[in-house]
Amino acid sequence: MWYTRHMNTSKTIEQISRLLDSRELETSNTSMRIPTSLRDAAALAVRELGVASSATALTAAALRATLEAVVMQAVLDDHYEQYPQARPSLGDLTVAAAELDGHPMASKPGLLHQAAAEIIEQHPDASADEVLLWAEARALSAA
Amino acid sequence: MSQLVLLDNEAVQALGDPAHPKHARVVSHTQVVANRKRRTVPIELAVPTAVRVEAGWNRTAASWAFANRLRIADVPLDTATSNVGAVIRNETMVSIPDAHLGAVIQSSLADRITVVTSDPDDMRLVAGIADVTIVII
Repeated sequence: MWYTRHMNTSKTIEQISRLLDSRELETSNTSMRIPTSLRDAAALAVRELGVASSATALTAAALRATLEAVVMQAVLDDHYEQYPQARPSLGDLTVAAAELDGHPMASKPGLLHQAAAEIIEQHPDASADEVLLWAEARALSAA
Repeated sequence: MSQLVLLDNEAVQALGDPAHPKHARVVSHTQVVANRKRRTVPIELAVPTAVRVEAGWNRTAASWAFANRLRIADVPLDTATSNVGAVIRNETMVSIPDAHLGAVIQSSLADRITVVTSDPDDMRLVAGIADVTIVII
C-alpha cells in the first residue's frame, strides 16, 4: 500500500518536474477561468508596477513558482515517510531560517528551540519565520 | 528580495545521504526554502556544477534520487564564470569547485546570497567583496 502510493507519487513528481524543465516554447490558449478581480489586479500590477512584462507572464511565473514548491514539498514529504528521523522540528526549521538569513538569533539555537516549543503549543501551524520574529521581539523586549 | 542558496561539497553529500551525520541539518535548510517558495518568496537552491562533480552527484543515478527531485538548479561553468573562477583560483589557490562557488557568488544578481558549507574560511575567501551569508554545517 505504502509502496504503491510512493511509486505513484514519485511518477507524478517526475512528470511535473520534466514538464517544468521543458524548454518548449509552444504556448496554449486555455479555458481557465479566474476571478475578474484577480485578473484586473494582475493587469494593474503589470501596467503600474511593472512586476512582469504581461499579465500572462505574471500568471505563468506565479504558477511555476507554486508548482516548484509543490514538487519540493512532495519530495520532502516522501523522504520523511521513508526516513522519519530526517523530518525537522519547528525548532530545527527556525534555526535553519535564521541561519539562511544571517539573522543574529542564529547564534542562539537554544532560545529558538525554546521559542518554537512554546509557540507550537498554542499555534501548531506556526511557521519558522513566525517563530523567529517572535523570538526576536521577545529578545528585544528583554534587552 | 531575491535569495540564492548555494550548497558546497559537504552540503551536497549530506543532502544526498540519509545516513550522513549532517543530513537532517541540510534537509532543514531545504525545507525552509520549500516553505518560502510556497509563499512565493523568490528563493532558489542551486549548486555549481564543479561542486556537483566534486561531490559525485550524478543526476542520472538512482542513488541521488532524493537530491535529483528537489529542483536544485545547476549553475554551469560557462565562459564568464570560468574567467572569474580562474582569477579566484590564481589569487587564492583554492580548489576548482571552490573557485566556481566564488565565481557564482561574485557574479550573482540575487539580492541575498547564502552558502551552506563546512568550510567557512574558504567561502569568505572566494566571495571577495561580495556580501554573503555563510551557514556552517
